[in-house]
Amino acid sequence: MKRRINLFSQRIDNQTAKRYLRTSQRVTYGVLLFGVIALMALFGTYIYLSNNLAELNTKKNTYERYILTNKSFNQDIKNFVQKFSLLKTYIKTDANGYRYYRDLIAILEPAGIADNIDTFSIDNNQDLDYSIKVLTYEEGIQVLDFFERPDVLDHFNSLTLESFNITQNEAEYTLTFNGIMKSRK
Amino acid sequence: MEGLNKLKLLISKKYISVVLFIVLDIVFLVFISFLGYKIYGVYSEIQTLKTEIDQLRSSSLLIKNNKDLLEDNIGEYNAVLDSIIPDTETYFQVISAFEQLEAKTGVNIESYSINLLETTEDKMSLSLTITGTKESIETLFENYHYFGGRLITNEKLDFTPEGLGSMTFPVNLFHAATDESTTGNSGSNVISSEDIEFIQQIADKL
Repeated sequence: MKRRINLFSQRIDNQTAKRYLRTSQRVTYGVLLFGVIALMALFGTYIYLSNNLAELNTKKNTYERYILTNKSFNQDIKNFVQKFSLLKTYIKTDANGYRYYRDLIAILEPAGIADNIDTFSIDNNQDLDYSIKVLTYEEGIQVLDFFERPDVLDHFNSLTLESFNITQNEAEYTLTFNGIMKSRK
Repeated sequence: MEGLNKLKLLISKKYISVVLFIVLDIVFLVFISFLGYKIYGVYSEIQTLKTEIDQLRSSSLLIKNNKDLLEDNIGEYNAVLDSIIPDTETYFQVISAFEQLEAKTGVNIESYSINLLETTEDKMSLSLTITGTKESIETLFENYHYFGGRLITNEKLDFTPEGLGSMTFPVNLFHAATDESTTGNSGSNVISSEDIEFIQQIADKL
């Protein structure tokens, strides 16, 4: 019986095995190299961050010591700042109306109509409504002329004549204005 | 047969080295993961610490910036502020404020009602019905802010000069609990001498 040996298939198996081994070796070398580099980089980062953490801890301790030395003042100043800022916030909501009323009187004084204010209303946005009573139509026109003067209008952000009416059964004319006074806050 | 043996030898040699490298790779990867985890921990700690330090720095700056001007009299200034904006509100305090307002201005507060729609958590809104002489009401208009021993504001003044003897006057009274946290207390808050003068002016009116 003649025995046949397939030399080619033997060679192929041999070569395939070698090739797989070589590839595996390369891959493991590559992974190892990557591991070494990554480990070095991570270790460097870890040391950097640890130093940073130590510095921050020192900083924290310094601040804590300073605050502890001024413990009583620290509480007082916090209370002060909180209440004082609230005070400033709340006071801004105040209309301070009488001050603007006096301003309006001062504006009207040169025209001799300061005592003719019939109604007055102002809110915390300086939105103003007021009315002035005069006895004659001519006086009413004079009041209108007065409010068209630039130096008078200078006291207002806006001012409009809402109505100019004659009061029924009375010889009186009422001029109603609305507008916005310039803020004095 | 000899070739086959060579191959087996080669395989066993290379195999051992590959296995060794795989083991080494695994060890390295485990180390990398462990170090990555540690780094994440340190990083998180740093972030937390930075937030804490920001608050502490803010408090320290607040102390440093204001100590010279305020240290001697801060208790007195706080007493003034706590008096005009108390931590809590009671009806007794409100009535007491109105009585003080009447005594100092000369007006009569005939009645008062709470504006529920305008009243908030820290603001009590009321409508006062007042009578008095023109002078007393003018005194009220000029001094209502602190004459009651409280911060009182008026959001809208509406009156008829001829009918000044009797009118409705809307007012607000405020209260706010002291906040123990540092939130909102920025270190950049520097109290000026004008602020101190303002507090002293309030104290004179109480």
